[in-house]
Amino acid sequence: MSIDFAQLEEVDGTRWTWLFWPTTKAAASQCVLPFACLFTPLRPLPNMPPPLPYPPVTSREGTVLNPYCSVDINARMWVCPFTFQRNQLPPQYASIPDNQLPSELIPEYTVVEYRLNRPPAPPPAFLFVLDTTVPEKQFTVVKEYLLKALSLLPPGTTVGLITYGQHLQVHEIGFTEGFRSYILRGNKSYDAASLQPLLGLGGASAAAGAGASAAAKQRADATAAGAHSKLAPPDRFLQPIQECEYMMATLLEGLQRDAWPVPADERPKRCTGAALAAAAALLECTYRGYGAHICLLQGGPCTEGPGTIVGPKLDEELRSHIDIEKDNAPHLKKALKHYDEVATRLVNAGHALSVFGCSLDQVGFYEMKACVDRTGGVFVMAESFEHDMFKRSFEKFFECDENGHLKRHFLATLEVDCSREFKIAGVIGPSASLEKKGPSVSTDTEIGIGGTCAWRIGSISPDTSLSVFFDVVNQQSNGIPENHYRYIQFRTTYQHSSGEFRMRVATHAGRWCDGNDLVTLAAGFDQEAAAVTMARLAAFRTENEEAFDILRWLDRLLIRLCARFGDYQKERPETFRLGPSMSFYPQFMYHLRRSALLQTFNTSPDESAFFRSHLCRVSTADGMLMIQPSLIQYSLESAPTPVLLDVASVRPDVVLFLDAFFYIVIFYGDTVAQWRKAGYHLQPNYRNLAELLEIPRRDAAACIAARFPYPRWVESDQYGSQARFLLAKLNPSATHTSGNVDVLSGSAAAEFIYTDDVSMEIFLEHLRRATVATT
Amino acid sequence: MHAPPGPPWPRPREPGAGPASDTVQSNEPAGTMGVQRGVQSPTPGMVQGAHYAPAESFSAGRAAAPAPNAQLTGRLRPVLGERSQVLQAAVQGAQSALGTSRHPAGGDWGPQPAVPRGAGVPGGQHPGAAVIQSSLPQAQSMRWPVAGNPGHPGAFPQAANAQAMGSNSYQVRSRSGVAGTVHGWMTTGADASAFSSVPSQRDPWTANGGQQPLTSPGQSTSPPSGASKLSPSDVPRPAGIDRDYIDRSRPVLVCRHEYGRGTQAETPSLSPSFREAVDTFQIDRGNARPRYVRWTVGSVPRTPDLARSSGIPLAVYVAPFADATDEKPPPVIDTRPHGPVRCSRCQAYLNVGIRYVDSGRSFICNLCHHLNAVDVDRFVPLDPVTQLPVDFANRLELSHGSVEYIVPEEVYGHQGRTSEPVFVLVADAPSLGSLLPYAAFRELLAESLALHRARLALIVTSAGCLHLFPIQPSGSVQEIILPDIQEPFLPVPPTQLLQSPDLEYWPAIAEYIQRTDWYTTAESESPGSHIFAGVLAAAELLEDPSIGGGKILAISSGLSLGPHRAGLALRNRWLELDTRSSHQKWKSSMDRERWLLQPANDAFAALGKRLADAQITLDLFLHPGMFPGTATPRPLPYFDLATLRTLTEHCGGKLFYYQQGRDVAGLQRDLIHAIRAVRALEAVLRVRCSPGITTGEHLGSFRPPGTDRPDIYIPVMSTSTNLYVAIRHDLSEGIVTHPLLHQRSGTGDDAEASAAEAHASTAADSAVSPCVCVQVAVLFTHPGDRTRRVRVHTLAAPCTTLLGQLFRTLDVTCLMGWLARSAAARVQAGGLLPKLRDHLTEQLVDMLFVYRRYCASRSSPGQLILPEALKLGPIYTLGLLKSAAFRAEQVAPDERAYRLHQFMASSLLSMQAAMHPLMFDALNSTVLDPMVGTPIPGTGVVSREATGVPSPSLVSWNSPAGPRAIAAPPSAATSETDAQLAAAPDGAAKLPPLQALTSERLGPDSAWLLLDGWHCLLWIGEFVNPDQQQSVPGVYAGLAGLPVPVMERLYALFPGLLSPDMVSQRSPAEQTFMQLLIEDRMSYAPSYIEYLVTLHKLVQRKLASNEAEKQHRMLGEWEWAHTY
Repeated sequence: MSIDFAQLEEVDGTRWTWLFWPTTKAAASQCVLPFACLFTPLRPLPNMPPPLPYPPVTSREGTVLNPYCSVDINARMWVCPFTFQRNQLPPQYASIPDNQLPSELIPEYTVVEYRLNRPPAPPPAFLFVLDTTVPEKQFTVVKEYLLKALSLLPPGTTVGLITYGQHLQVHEIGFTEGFRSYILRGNKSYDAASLQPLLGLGGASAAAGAGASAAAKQRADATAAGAHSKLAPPDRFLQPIQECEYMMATLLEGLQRDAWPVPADERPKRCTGAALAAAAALLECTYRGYGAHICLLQGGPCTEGPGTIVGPKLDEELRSHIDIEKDNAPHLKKALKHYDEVATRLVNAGHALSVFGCSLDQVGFYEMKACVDRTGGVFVMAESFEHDMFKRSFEKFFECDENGHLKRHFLATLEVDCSREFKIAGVIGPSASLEKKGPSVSTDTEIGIGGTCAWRIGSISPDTSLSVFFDVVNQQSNGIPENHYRYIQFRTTYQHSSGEFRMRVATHAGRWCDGNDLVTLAAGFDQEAAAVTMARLAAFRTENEEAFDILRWLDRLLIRLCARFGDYQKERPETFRLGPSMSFYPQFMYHLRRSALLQTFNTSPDESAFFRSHLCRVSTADGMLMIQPSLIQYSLESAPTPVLLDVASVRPDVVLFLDAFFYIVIFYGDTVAQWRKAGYHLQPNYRNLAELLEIPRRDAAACIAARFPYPRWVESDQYGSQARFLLAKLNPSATHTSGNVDVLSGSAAAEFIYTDDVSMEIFLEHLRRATVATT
Repeated sequence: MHAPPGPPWPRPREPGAGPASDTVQSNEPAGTMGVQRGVQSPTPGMVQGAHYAPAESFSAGRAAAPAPNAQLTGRLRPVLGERSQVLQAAVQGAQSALGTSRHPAGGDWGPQPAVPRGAGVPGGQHPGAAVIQSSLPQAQSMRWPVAGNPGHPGAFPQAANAQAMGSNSYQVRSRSGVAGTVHGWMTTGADASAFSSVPSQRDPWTANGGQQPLTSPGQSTSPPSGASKLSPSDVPRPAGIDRDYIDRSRPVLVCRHEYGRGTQAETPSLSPSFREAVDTFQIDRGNARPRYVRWTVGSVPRTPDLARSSGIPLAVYVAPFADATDEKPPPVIDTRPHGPVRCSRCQAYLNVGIRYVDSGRSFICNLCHHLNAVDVDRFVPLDPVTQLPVDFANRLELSHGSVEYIVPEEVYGHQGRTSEPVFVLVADAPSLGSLLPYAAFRELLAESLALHRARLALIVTSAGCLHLFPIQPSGSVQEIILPDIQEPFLPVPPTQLLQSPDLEYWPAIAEYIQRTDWYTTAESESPGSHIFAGVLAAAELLEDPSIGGGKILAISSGLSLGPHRAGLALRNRWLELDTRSSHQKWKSSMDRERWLLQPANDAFAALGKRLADAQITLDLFLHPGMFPGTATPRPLPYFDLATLRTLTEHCGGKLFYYQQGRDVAGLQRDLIHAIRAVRALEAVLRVRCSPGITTGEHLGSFRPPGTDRPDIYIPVMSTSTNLYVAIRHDLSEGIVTHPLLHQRSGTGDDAEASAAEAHASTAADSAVSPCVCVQVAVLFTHPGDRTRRVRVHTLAAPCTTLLGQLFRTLDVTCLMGWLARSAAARVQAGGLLPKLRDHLTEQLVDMLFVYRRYCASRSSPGQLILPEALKLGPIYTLGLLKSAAFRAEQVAPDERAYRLHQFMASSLLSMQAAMHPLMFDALNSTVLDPMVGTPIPGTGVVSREATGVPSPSLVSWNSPAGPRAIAAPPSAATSETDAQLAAAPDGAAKLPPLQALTSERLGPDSAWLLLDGWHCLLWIGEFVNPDQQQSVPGVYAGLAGLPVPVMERLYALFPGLLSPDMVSQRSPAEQTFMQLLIEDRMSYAPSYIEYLVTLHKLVQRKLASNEAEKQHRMLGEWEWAHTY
């Protein structure tokens, strides 16, 4: 029996590392891998009812009425499955006949979405923060794409512009008499309180100064004023697109690159940190409590003011992983602190930051990771603004659904409630803690962002996925009745991009099983979800631990898992077998260990931050691609087939298509490449060859059309320089040290890889030995 | 002390009330001879005109009436050393004076030529003998006003008062017993010869009638108001007052230094006359023009003892870039690539005074007497006859006192300037309101920028922000706002802010600003100004290495409010003073005032230093401005000028202070001037002196030089940049001579000069006439072509060992300027004003005493003896005491601080006007002299010289009041070139005749323009026909009598001069006007006559105590001798 976990995901957007949970804490700890759920809050579900136009019925604890509640229509009472409290039903539920149950009570609808009875929010704001120290050609492109963004965004969306170079400039786009901008020091960090008098944002002063209560007050003010009426204070800097489009167009047209001369031996001065702080402050003053997104378009590292990651002198090199490990990065701590402060302010105000870093050099993702990850923003990394990786990603970023609403929603709050037998240990994903304590919060275990049962996600898209970790706390003494289920409710309140406030409630019921029933446990093991969860966990731990320790930890867990669930005789490696539900897991771990997610060799800190940031937000399938890319073989003989991610798959007469999420490679075997060079595919009789060349490209194009960020597109011939992208991902079953290759002649029949890495066979061999050796 | 605290002087005249003039005078001890009675006697007369003129005073006056030749004895005294010569001149003068009096035109009125004078005819102060001769009839004429006064009871109290004062003067003289007692104020030879042109002046003067009452002979019986006074016209006044200059061509001053004849330096001397000082055409014939360098003395005391005992301060006034529009500028010599020839020891520049020896292979430096070898490649043989290099004609530095070298930049540090000059205009919103609406201003601005091919940046501050306007390639206006006014910085590279000289973007920006909200809203009406935030940004702009300095023009409209962090926020100390109980905090009002005149903090000085270090000069314009968007001027705020001045002074800039928000024209004028007048960038100034003397204190508006380096660094020098350098002897033996240097070459020797030398020289080598040399060198960058240059002014002056010579040749204007500036410096340094006031009088008394004691000891003890050259000392000192800077009265602290600053910073000309304001007849100037407002005729063309008719002015100006009153006649060879040089071009607009500063003639149908270099007041009598007033565009208001060119000339002469302020008779504002009439009595200071009396008494007292001390000392010695 095997469970189709992907199918299950279609029901309520969850994927569980273990579908069946042992009833006791002790048994749970023997399962080695954590009990976690990969939850995609806004995943479009096929059998979800349309949004309910009424507000949810909530208990006193905040849990929402759901199909698992026992409802007594006549008594107008319902019992919450989490707290077993009796709650009153609202009067309108009094006379509902059994066959016309409201959607939230229909058993199939475990996920429902409510339209909250709140006045709609003002249109979301996008504040563009533009680096003006990029080369002229790129600057032209990025300005053009800014304009394009305006055309992509729904017309009501509010936009603003901050440009920065040595200093930062807040453009007053609501001013029509001419071009006016406020310029602020690049070497100073502005918070809302200091920025507000400077920019004359008098109206929002109370809100800016006094925190959450004031934010509520401002919300009330906005209500009174009517949400779509012009915002009084911010309208000088943030304007609806339809009103400022001309102004922005002329402004961008006339916008010059930063004019400060750059000495030949220096980097341009770039006050990214200050610009971000000011952008955050501006939104704090004007949009606190409403959805807003800062888009940072960055062309190089921050070299000026707070958040500096490298000095302006060119002889000073950007920090590498080794520098960071050896504490040899002088700017690092200060920069991390600055961006952490900015992140905190962004989170408190409910805003998100996305960074488009377009430079051949590093731009400081590593330092800015907190800002992006905690607010739900995204990183986009490209070589330059002229590169497709920026252009397509940028367009994709502003993608709208069929109703003309942005796919990216705002200001989400994820709340989780669960049955008493287990607690919530934490979350890993693009979110920040709201520090909401509750009975469901685990007090002794914290994994990821824990200690809370509510998280803020500043920007959320349908594929944003979080790992939620649980901790089974039930003691042996408290037996769990046989027919008992564990219940988990995910409530996601968010500001829909149309301005509506919505709440999506997903209630999940899971089965308990006996902790000694290894077969059942193993059957409920979702090895993909487990691999992604472990990858996220490992990525999360890289922030505080050294890569080497994490690898060791992964190995230990793997060995323990195999020892627990494997079928073997002690001290006899050859007898070792794993059940089908777990059989691929060691392989995933092998590739995870080799991937750039964990390996820092040959990877810059920025790249690592970029990979890990995306790993923690993508869906399980995408996560799997990052860990273990898919390799598809096209040949004249057979239909496209997935092949092993092994160097043995490289053959001269095939075309290979590797999808590693961040990049895709179309690889032409030597023979195919020679055919192509000879121009056979242009001849009508060789239409099959033309198709062979064409189909992988078409497939790849289809594959990346849905992908964000836009991957790097690599086409390579065998033995070509770009082939390294493919070879790096392959299992080096044949290397220059393998005996079957004549290195000197170079005329090997099979491809091989110059590497000292162990191949999967050796890895598995060692695993077997280690497993059976364990007692 | 002789200037007692409190109101020592009688109250000013008040209509009806009558002065209580006897208060102090009567309390004085009666030990000062008849003077006291003389003072007292007229006081009853001041109460009622009818009781005026006690008989005894008149009888005394008559008794004192001198014989016509009495002046001759008077003239003898100051010229004891050269009796014969001066006697001759004096006789000539007397004769010509008599001749004048017998002129037919004068004869029309009768035998007594003084009658018209006494009746107030302009030009009444005839020079020389004529003055005193006329005194007797004048005294008689006094009866008429007395008789006439009842007919105009109380109508013109000033006139009545003037009579009283007139009688005072007579009393002084009459009681002194000897005719010509207050003598010596008649001008000497120069004026005597000037006199010769008088007959020609008379005709137009009488023809048009002048003052109408005078045309009728019958006026004497019923003198009309305007003339019914007794002008005390024979007290010394600056030449030119009450004297007309009709047909007078431009005076020419030739500054000689005869090379090869020993350093036979001729000290050029300007007459203390204001008009001659401004109109003179100066020719450089080997000595620097007085316009550039000027000694306080004409002959330098040779020994320190002499200098000390004379009481005359030695100082040099230096204005290296003084404006000389139509004169030949110093010749420019390109010395690249070798650089100019300099002394290898003292680094002095080659000049006229050096001497080539050894056939031209070496030369002796006249500033350190070092024998320098001439470089082989620069060797030029000497002409055996003249002992000059054979290429003398090309060696301009050997024939000019002032030269300008273009020097190689590598050697003379360029300090990185590569771009054209840059000006940054920093203005706050209200002051911007005074500039923006005027398109004409933009034109002028562009023109003046084009002069230097300079560029301009505009920084505007409003209540909370800085506003900048980068130039957009598209031509559209972009505004950049710096909201963080506490930490201003330069947001964009300088290149983006600099407008080209044609100010292409100015109109667009101006139009834009006028539309913007911050400019038009009430926010910009806040009482303070954030101008210094803008200044800091401007400083950052100019500090940019691509710019390397420049000039900031900052216009502030209120008290500085920040940035706090830089310490540039100021409190209203004046208001604090009013609200706080002053008795608790201050012991006396003196302390309070001193506190108010001290800077409130060091931050401004520090900022000034920072600017100066970055080669930036800041001119600060304090202008209340307009309410933006309206035409309403704002009220005058308190600026705390005492603090702000430290900023401008440390970077060599100037302050401009406007008391009227509506004086927009004044502000614009000065802004334009501040740009136009720029002459030098990155300037370093050094003064070198001959052996024996050395430089002391440097006084002026710049950072005082450090002890280690005597150079003065002024980032931007303009035409008005000037300084005083104190000179002291540094060797006890005095000025060192060098036999070779002062050896005569034997050519062109003439008897007259040697005769003079025989008198003068007490040196061992009788053939040597030692002279002293001062060389001012300014290293600077020329703003036009940005070459590095050195401007060198070399001034040689004769030495003397005679006290009398010293007194005879001192330059009273320069001297008084020095005294005023050092007094102002002391006040700024924390001196108490009353002490300084006493000190000013003391210094004058000391000089007078020395003169009296050692040079005129034979005169009667009852006489007040004024040395001829110092005759204006009293009136200048009095003017100083009555000026707002030193006045013993409550003066707004800003005004006082400003006037003090002006004494530190402005040119000698402005200081002169501040000491002795200029008054013009605003109605009749053109009637009196039709040439007023037209260019002053030059000395004519060369053809005139060819006919052999010597130019009168040339002759007259060739004879300064020095020992060689008549200069050595130029040799035939030089006279021709001199004549060519003397063909001075026509000058600037002619100014109207000056008037004496008394209220005597303020009739209800007259109007007067009075200016003291800052205030410009137009007093209009009650009965002045409004038709006569005409508004003149750009002048704010004018009168028919003052053509526009006159005002323009005045504005050009006095940068910072306010636009005329209308003062109607009997209006409250009249007080300001009256305060400038320094000859009148004021509540806090005496009248001129009274002051003379006081001086006399003080000299007397000093004489007496000196005698007593001497006797006492002798007695003591005798006792000592007898005891032991």
